[in-house]
Amino acid sequence: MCAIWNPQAETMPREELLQLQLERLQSTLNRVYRYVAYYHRVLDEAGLQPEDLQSREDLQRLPFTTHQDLRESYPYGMFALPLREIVRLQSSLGTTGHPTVVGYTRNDLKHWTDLVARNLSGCGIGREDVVQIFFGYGLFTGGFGFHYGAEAVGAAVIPVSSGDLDRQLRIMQDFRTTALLGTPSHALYMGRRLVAQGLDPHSLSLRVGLFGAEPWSEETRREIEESLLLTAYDSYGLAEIGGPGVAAECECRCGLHLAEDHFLVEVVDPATGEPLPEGEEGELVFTTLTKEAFPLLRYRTGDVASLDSSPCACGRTLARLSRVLRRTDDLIILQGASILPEDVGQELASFAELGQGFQLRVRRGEEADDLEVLVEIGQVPDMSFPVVEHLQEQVRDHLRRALGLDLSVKLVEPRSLQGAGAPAPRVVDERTL
Amino acid sequence: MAPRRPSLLSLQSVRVFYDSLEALKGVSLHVNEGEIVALVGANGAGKTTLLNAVSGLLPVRAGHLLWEGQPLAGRRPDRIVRLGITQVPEGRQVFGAMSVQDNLRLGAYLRLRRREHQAVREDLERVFAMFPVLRERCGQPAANLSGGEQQMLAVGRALMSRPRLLLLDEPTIGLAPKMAHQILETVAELRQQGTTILLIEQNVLASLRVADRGYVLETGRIVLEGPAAELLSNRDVQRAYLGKDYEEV
Repeated sequence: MCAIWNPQAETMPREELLQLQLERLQSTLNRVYRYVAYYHRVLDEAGLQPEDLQSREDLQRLPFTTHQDLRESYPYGMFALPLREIVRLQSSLGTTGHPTVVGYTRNDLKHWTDLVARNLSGCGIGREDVVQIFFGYGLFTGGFGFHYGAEAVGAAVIPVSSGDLDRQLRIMQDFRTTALLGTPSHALYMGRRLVAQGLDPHSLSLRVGLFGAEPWSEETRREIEESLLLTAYDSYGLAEIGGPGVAAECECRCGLHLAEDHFLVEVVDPATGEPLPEGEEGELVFTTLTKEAFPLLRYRTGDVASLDSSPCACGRTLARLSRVLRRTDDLIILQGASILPEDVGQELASFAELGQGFQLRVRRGEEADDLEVLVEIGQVPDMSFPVVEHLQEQVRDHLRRALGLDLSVKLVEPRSLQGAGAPAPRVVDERTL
Repeated sequence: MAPRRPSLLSLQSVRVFYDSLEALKGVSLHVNEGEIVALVGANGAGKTTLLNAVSGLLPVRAGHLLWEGQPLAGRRPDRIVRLGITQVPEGRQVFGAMSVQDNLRLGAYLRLRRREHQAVREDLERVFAMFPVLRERCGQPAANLSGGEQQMLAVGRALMSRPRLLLLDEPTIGLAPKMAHQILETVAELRQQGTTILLIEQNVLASLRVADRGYVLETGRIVLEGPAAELLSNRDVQRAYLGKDYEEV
């Protein structure tokens, strides 16, 4: 059995956990009502005072916080503390519009470290390990979040950051890396590159990997495990509520233990917003319980999963989240960034020569996941091949600049993306996930 | 792995009124066995109200007040003392005309009625060992003691009931720094001996240093909670209660 990093929190009897959640929910409400103008207005409009929320269930009387609300408050509109109290700023990787800026106080960073350390301990990463982090360092929360946790558990940390597979493999060999932290797609490509180069995975020292920031299937897990000879664990987190450390699998790999002492999670029907009984799949809605700088009430994640609070063989009492493999919307998560088709549509609208229809196709490439944008040409007479080719390049360059992503564009015949009757889907994700 | 300490006292959304004035606006907190929990807040925030509600001196209008999971609200104060909850009120409130020893024996009133004379005598020795000055003055009227000595007497009197949970209301108020320090050392010592403590203290820094966890109460609402060390590093707490201004924090 792997060590439990914070037994006090991770094995707390459920009854005590519910008490703690109530206490923290109420103190969070009292603070956001006082310090966050947005929530002050939301509560007032709902005709509520913070003290009217007397139980966890009463939380349902509050409206949801949506991604749109966060966009409108860009950059600091929903901070609960002035910047002088903030010691770190990170951001979500929204490609267009406004990303979400997340602030951390010293205590927030301390909690973040503890949460990620729990995740790492849960899959057996500790002081004996040489940890290679290939999450991007920077505004993206993955790099720094896992870095803090890995240092806290006493591992030797290699902060390679993302990029260049050959370099990653070389470091993995030379530094005798035992644990990998990064996106599953990167791990997958590393494994494939290893095979392509005819390298023997037995020459590596890998033993464990904790992956996240993207949905990935059991099939992908198997391929990663077989090609890199390690045990692969899943983790879950999102920038808006602080980054990684929210939930991760323990050695039982029967769901991801959720840090319920820091987050109150509801599973709701995405259509009606009504809470669903435990065990049913629905949209995850998060309320932060300990955030000082950037607390959120009932934040709709768009991620779909279910919860299970039955005891786990590992001894942790924290409920388990099913693996997040679906979303309620068409959001594509690619290389840690998120792309909404609407955003792409907005960019395409600036080209008069283009039609209405477009489709985003994502698939596994040689080095990384590829995004191809198929766009219908408008009803323009006399489009010679060179003209089309030139337009295609223009659109591609524009989208690359606007979205900050490497992608390819293919112009297609007018109306060819409209199937017989039903419109073609906006997103085709061909990754086996 | 540290042994789990079950929750002794828990409050869930407790509301207390003085007529129409709401003094506690839905307060939730808990105290685990063996912990020192500090309750911090300005005058009028509702700290003493909370202790009085736990002791049964004030009615709880809404919410749950639980002792080892069982409802406490509605019980008479003397019943609550029998359960093991003893309050040391602010301002000592020792009986000035009575001797030090009688004050102490009074704290064991319920036990003396149960004829636990031998055990009470042993506890008296324990209190004298903790506060030697009380032994020296055990025959004198309590009114003759200094403020610090009276505070020791008040704590000692509370201990004579063998409480499982001690509610301490501003035990160092009005005391010289040295004496205040000694009282808080005693608080830490009591915890070592197994007594659980809910502490209200005007000296926020000192109380958070001795406490395991803390809650910050403002106008009847809890606005912050957490391990004492985290509260000490929270800048709001530093500014509001530790007398540090903007330049220092």
